[in-house]
Amino acid sequence: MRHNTVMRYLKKAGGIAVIPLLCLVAMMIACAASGTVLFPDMNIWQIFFRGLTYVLLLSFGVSINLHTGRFDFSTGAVMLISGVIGAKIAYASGLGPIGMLIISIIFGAVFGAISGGLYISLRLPPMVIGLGMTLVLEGVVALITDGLKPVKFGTDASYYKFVTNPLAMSIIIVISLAIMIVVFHYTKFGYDYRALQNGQKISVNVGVKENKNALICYIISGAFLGGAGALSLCSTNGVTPTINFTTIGTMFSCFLPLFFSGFISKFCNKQVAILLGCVGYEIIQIGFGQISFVNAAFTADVYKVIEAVILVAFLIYLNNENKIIEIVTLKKWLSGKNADKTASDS
Amino acid sequence: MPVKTKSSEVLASDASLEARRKALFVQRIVSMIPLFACILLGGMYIISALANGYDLRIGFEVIISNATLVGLVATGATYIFASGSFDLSLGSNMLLSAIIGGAVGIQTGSIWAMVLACIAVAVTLSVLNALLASFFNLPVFIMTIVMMNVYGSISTLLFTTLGTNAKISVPFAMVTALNNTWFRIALIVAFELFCCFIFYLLKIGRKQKFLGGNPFCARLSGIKPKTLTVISFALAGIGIGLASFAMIVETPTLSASSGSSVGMNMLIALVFGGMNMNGGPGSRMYSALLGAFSMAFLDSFMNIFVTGSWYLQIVKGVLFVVVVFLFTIGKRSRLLQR
Repeated sequence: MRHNTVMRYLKKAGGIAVIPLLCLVAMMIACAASGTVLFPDMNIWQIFFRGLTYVLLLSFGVSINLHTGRFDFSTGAVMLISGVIGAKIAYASGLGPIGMLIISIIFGAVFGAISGGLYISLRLPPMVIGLGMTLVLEGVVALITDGLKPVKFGTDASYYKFVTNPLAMSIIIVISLAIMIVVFHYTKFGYDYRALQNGQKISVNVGVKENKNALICYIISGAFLGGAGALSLCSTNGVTPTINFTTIGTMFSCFLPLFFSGFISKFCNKQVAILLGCVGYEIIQIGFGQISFVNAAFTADVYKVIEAVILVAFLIYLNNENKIIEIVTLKKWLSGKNADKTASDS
Repeated sequence: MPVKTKSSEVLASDASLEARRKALFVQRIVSMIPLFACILLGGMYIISALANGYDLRIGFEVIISNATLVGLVATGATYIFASGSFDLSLGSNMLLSAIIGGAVGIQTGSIWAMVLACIAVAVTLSVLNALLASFFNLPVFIMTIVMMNVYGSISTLLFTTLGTNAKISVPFAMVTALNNTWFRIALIVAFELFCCFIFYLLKIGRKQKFLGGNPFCARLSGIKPKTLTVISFALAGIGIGLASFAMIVETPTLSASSGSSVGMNMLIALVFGGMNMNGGPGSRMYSALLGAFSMAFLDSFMNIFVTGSWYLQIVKGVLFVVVVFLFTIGKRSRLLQR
C-alpha cells in the first residue's frame, strides 16, 4: 500500500517535471553542440524571467477563452492597444512602469469587456467577434499613434529596467498564478466556468449563467493580455504599430506552453501546469537565443520554424496519444501474442 | 362537428403555408443582400468618383486588380468553408508559392513553368494542412495559425537565401504582356466557371455541402470526410496558386509584405459575399467574387474621401460584424456559440 502511494507520488512528480527537464537537457545538448552554454552568466536570468512573465501572462489570457472552445483572434490587438495606451499615459504623466502596467491592465479589461459584451449580445461565433475587434482595434491604434508612428520611452530606461528585474517579474508571476488559481478553482465563477467547459447545454439547463460567465472570462482575459502588452512594450523599449491583421500572429508564442501544459495538467493543477509549460518554453527560447549568438545562420525565422515543428509534433502526440503509445510499446502485437499463447495453452 | 374540425385544420395548414411562404420570401431577400450591397457600393463609388473628377477607367482597373487576388483565393477557399473546415494560412501559402514560382520562372525563363510551380506548391501546402488536420486530428484553428507562421518564416528565409536585398525580382519582360486588366478578368472568370462547374454540377460539390451541413449524416451516408477534406483543400490550392501567379504578374518584385493582407481579406470577402462560415447547403460559390468586388468598391470609395488605410480598416471591422449579424438573424441559439 505504502509502496503504491510512493510510486503514485513519484509518477506525479515525474509527469510534472518531465517537460521542463526535457527542454533543459535538450537545450543544454544543443548549446554544447553549437559551442556555447545555456546559462553563461547571471544576466541570462534577467532575460529568462522577463520572457517567462510575458509568456505566462499571454498564456493565461489566451487559455481562459481557448479552454472553453472560444478562439479569440483579437488577443494580439488587445495587447497592442492596451500596451500603447498604457505607455502613452504613463510616459506623459511620469507614472513609470508600474503605473503603465496598471493602466494597461485596466484598458485590457475594458477592451475585453467590449469583446465579451458584443459576444453575448450579438450571439455570434467568437471568431467573427475576434476578427471584427482585431480590425477595429488595429485601426484605433493607428489613430492613437497618429498614423502608426513609433511609441517610445525616449531616454527613460526605467521601463526596460523594470522588465529585466527578476524580483519584480517573480512578484508578477506569483500574483498572476495566485489570481488564476483562486478565481478558477476556489470561486463560484470558477466552478461555473468548469461546468460550462465540460457541458455547456447541461450547465445552462441547471441554471449556470453563461452570459455573465463569458463576460467575466473576456474581462479577466483582457486584463492579462493588457499586462502582457505592457511587458512586451517595456521589453522592446517601445513599439512601431502595424495593421492589416499583423497582430493575429502574436498568440503563436503561447501555443507551445499551452500544449505543454495540456500534458502536465494530468499530474497537477492546470494553472501550475501552464506555468511549468511556460518554463519549458522559455528554456527553449533561451537556448535558441544562445545558439543564434554563435551561429549567424540560426535566425529568428529558423527558430520559429523549429518551434512550429516541435509544436506540431507535440500536438500530434497529444491528439493521438493512445495510438502512439500502442505503436511504441507494441501493445497490440504483444496482446495478440499473449492471446495466441493463451489459446495454445488451453 | 367533423366539418368544423376539418375547416379549422385547413385554416391552420393555410396559415402555416402562408408563414412558410413568408419565411421563404424573407430568406430570398436576405440572400440577395450581398448582391444589393455590391451594386450599392459600386454605385456609390461611381457617383463619388465622377463627382470628384476621378478617372473611372483607372479606378476600375484598380478595383479589378484588388478583387482578382482576393477573389481567386476566396473562390478556392469556398470549397474548404463549404465542407465545414477552415484555413487561415492561405495568405502566407500564396506568398510562399509566389516565391518558389518566381524562382522557377527566373531559372527556367518559362512562364508556363512558373504557373505550374505556383499551382504545385500551393496545392502541396494546402494538402499538407488538410493532412495534418484530418489524419492527425489536429485542431484546425491552431494548426492553421501555426502553419501561417511557418510559411511566413520560410518565406522570409527564402527571401534572404534566394533573393537580393530580401526581394525576389522576376524579369518584367517575362510578365509584362499579361499585366493588364483583360488578363485578370479572364483569369478570375475562367477560375470561377471551373469552380462553379465542380461545385454545382459534380457530385463532389454536393458532398461538400452535405459534409458542411451535417457531418454525422454525411459520414453515415458513405461520404469519406478525410478524403473529401483533402480534395477541398487541393481545389483551394489551385486558386491560391493562380492568385500567386497573378501577384507576380502585377508586382514582379516580391517582398515579405507582398499580398500580406490577402489571407484575412479573403475571410472578410467571403462574409461580405454572404457565405455561411459554418459551410453547408447555404454555401454559394459566387459569394467569394461578390464579396471581393464589394470590398474593392468599398476600398476605392473610402480612398476618395479619407487618407490612411486605418479608417478603412475600422469601417471594414464594423461592417464585418454587422453583416454576419444580419445574416444570422433568426438562426441564433439560446446557447452562446463556440
